[in-house]
Amino acid sequence: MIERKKDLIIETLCRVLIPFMQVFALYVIAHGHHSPGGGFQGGCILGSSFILLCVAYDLIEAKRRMSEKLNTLFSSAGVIIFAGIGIICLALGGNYLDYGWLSKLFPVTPVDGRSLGILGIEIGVGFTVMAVMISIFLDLASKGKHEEELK
Amino acid sequence: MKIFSFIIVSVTGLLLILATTDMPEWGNPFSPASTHVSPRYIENTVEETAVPNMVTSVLADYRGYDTLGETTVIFTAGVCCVLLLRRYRQ
Repeated sequence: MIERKKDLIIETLCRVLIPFMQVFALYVIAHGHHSPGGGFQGGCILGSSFILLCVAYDLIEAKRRMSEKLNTLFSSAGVIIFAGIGIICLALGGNYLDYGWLSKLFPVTPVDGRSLGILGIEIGVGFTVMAVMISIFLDLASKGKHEEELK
Repeated sequence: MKIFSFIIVSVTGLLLILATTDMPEWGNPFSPASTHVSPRYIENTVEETAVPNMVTSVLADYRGYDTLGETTVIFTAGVCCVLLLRRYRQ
């Protein structure tokens, strides 16, 4: 049983802060190939915004927003996106992770296809980093208990 | 047996320290890495990948296989934490 102590200031501040953090994280991921940033950094910001939610509210509320099942799905989905883009390039006739061949699927030139492929794998990396950060934090903070046992 | 292991570790360590004296100087513009690989990336990144950020193009395109390995390492670390820390119901 985990008691939740309400604090108006912390909750209001976090309710304002978390959406901005998440939008900034999405910007860092999506703009990673044009400015400093990328999947690892953006995923970390996205994960820490969720950890802030866990700290400001409680674990039951946090797990209602992002269940462990969804979290595990996300962490493996990121690796699958990354490896899948490589396999798509392989299927289109190029080498593994040779993004230039993505231009056969999308209406872009081969050079722009490389930029597109880099964006795709950054998104995959971001998914994995976010989900693994949240997963490790939830397992440490909840002593490995599941949703039902926390109540 | 302990002394034997200690000797092996010390000799390996000494050899590694000796090998570092052969490394090129820090920031030396004539080292092999600065004369072959770096100029190639700096000159051709924009034409070849249409990405203005050189770091990302090396990380995700030229060295994409390495990044795939890094992502897999993070995923494996997460799975290991789940296996070690999470308690399963009976």
